[in-house]
Amino acid sequence: MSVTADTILQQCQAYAGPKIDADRAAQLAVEINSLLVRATPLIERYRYLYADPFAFLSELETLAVAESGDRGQA
Amino acid sequence: MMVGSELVWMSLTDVAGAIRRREVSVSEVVDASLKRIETVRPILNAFIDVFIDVFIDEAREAAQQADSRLQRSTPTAPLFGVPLAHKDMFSRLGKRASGGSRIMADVEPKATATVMRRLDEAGAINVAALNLSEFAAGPTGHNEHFGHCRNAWNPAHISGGSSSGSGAATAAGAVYGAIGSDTGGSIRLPASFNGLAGMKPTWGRVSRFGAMPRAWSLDTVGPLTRTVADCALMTSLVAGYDPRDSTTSRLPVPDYTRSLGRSVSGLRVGISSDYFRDDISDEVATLFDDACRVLQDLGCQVEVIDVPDPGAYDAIANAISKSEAAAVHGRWMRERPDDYGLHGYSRTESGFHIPAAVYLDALSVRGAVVRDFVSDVFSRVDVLATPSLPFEVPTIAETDERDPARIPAMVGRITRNTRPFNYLGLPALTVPCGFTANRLPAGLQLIARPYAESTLFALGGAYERITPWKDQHPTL
Repeated sequence: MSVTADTILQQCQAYAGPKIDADRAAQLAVEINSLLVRATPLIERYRYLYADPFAFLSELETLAVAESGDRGQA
Repeated sequence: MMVGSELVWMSLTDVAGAIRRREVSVSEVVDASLKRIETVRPILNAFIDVFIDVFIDEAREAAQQADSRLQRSTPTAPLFGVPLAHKDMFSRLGKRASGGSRIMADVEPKATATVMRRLDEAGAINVAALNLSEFAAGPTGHNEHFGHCRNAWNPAHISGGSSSGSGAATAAGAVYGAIGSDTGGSIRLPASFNGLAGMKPTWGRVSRFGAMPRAWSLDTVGPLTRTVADCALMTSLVAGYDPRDSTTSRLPVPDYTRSLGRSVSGLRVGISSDYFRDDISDEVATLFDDACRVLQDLGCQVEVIDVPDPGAYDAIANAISKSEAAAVHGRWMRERPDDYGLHGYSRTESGFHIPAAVYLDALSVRGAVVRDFVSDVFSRVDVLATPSLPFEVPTIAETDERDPARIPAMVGRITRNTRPFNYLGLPALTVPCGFTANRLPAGLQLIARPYAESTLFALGGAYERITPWKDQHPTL
């Protein structure tokens, strides 16, 4: 997945987003695509695991409780 | 009777004890703090000046009331009479927080933030509002509205951000500790840059109710202090379930101060041979290696381990952070773009164009990612250690980037060792580990499994006890 400067400009106009010019749209496209290139392999590795995107707290708690022998817990 | 210069360099724990034992009055402690603020204020830009007179009057009145109570009974509140100040982004009824911006001053607080309420109940006295990067966005402490915050050890260098004032004011002896927030390193970086202890707790350990959001999936709230013991005490006081923040955990909060002094012999400490050593400067590498040898002297088993690619966590955290920040700032950026500084504005712009599907994917896989990371790394070691910053603390001029296209790379270099742990939600403590040749502090970052803050305080406290760093103070 990637985004283009044209798409960014069109989105700003269509959704009344913060105003930008073509140069800045090109810069943002580079910034976003750089993020996507680095993040996508991780996302793809886990993509087909069903998961609630808003259940992170319980995941952390489960991991804490599972380690009952943690010498660090008071 | 103690003089002001002795008072301001006492630890938070020690000054609280001295007040309780009536060795010093609350008014003496508060006056010393206010005098120190006056001295360092023009040098550091660590304070939000527009509120300073209100805070001074209120702090003196609170000190007098505390001294009256002290005459009648021995206080039990753990921070009774201790002057603190906090990153100016926590709401208090009747007092507007600037958020380091021109815009937040127009927002009337609807409640007092839970962390502020808990510190009030612990007896602390709030003596100032502290500067921050605009809207808590930025790891350098640049602020076009309130002045760039400066490092307490050398004002030509950055204080680190976004909790810039929290770091500089505490290191300068103006307050005994400060609350900050951390979305990508914003507690750990200013703590490290100013030679302090700083705790980014597990996501969900400390309430964010009443805090200004940057990115709610990543934001954490925690203390910056001059000693690990102070950090443990403040974390104990602010941590725990809050019915007004549904993302806080109901897991019980240990008394973290009890973990101090515990033997760390046999603790397994992992260090990475790749990502966290990439681009490390020679000086920071030497300090980090020295710190690892100290950990071995403490009886820890230090071993090199492979760590799953933190670079991917860094990128995915950025995608979440920018998306959520765009949601927070959308209306203001459309209606009041001229009220933003360059860094705050440009670092949020991309969030409007990151596909929603990517944002949701980033959150959906997060649980599985942290499960695998914990299973992989923390089955082999108890603590992961990295440099907090892989190079010397830069100057304000070096990081005063005016080209928006170059700001992400500058920010990315500074946050590369800290931001991955915001995505993973893990607790991370930074402690001072020496000075580079330019006499700027360096930090040792310690990371543990979820809710294992006690392990970090035990190890950080043991390290601090046999190293000289906490007893060195900047000369201002």
